[in-house]
Amino acid sequence: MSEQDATLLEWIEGASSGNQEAFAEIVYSFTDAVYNLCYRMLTESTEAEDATQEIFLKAYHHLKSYDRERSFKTWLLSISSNHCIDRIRKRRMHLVSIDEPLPSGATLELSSDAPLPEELTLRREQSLMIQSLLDELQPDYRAAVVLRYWYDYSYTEIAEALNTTESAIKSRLFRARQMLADYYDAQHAKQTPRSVNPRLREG
Amino acid sequence: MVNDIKQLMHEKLDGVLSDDLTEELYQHLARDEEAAQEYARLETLDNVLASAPHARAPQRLAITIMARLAQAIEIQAKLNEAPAEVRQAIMASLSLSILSMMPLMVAASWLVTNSMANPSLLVRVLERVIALMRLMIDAQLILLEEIERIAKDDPITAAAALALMPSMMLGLLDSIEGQSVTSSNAEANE
Repeated sequence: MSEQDATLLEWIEGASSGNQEAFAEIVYSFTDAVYNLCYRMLTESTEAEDATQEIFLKAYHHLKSYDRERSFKTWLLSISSNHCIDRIRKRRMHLVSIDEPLPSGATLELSSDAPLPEELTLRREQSLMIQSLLDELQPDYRAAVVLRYWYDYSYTEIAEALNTTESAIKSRLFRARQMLADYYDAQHAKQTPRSVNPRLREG
Repeated sequence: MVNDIKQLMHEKLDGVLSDDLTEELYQHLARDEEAAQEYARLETLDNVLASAPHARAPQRLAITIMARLAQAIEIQAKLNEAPAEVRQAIMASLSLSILSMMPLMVAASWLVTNSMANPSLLVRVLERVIALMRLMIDAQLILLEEIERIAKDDPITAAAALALMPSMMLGLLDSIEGQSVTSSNAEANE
C-alpha cells in the first residue's frame, strides 16, 4: 500500500468515526474530481455544485459501507454517476445552455502557461461544444463517456462504477461514440473528406 | 460495414486492441476507403473528447460542503433528541401515506384484469393508471422535498407537516376523482 493510500485510509477511518476534520481532507482531495463529473453530466455549473454537495453528504453517511478493498475514488465516482443520472431523469425540462458562462472561480486551463486571449476563447468554445455533444447522450451513456475520457477508466472500472457488466459498457461506449461522431459532423458539416492516417494507405 | 471491423475500430480507440488485431484493422482500412473514412471520423471525435479539460470546482465549494455537512449533523442531532412521540408520529404518517396508496393499487389491478379481453380498452386503462401513479409519486416527492426544506430550520414542524401527508394525499385523490367525473360527464354530453 502506498503512503498516499495509507493516508487516505486513515482519513476514511477517521471520518467513519465521525471525525469531520478527517472528512474535510477527503472533501478537499476529491472535490475537483466529483465536480468535474457533475458538470460534464449536468452541464449547468450551479446544479453541478449542488450535486457535488449532495454527493459528499451521501458519501459521508455511507462511509461505513465502503469496501476497503475497492478504490475509494471509484466508489465515490460511482455514487456521483448514479446521483447525476437520477437527477437528469428527474428533470422536467432539458436544461441546455450552449452560452453557459464559466463557473465563477473555475478555470478550464490545463497548462501552467498563461494562454493568449484568443487561445482562451477557442478553448472556451471547444469546451462548450464538447458539453453540447455530451448533452445529446442519454444519462447512462453520458456517464460511461465521462468516466472513459475524463478519468481514463477501463471497461472494468466503468462497469464497477456504474454497477453493470463490461459488455454493457463496451456497447454503450461504442454506440455513444457513433452518435457523438454523427452529431459532431452535423455541427461542423465538413465537405471535404477527412485526412486519413497515412499508415492506412500503405499496401 | 462489417460489425467486427467497427468493433475493432472502437477497441483500437479505447487502447485495448492487441498488436495482431491492430495490424488486421489497418490492413482492412487500407483496402476499404469507406471504412477508412469512418475510422477517421471516429478518431477525430476521440481526439476532441480526449483533449477536453477538467472543469475545476469553485474555490469555496469544499468549504460549502463542510458547512452543509455540519448543518445536516446538527439537524440529525435535533431529530434524535425529539420526543419519542414525534418519532412515532413520523413513522405512523409515513405508514399511512403508503397505506393510502393501497386502494388505488387494488382498483388499478381490478381495472387492468377486467380490461384484458379488450385490447384498446386495456391500453387506455393502463395509460390512465400509469399517469395517475406517476402523479401520486411526483406529489409525494414534492411534499417530501418541501418537508426536507422545512426540516433544515425546524425539524419538529417538519414532523408535524409529515403527519399531514396522508390527508394531503387523500385530498389529491379526491380532486383527481372529481376532475375525472367532470371530464367523463363532459365527454358523455358531447
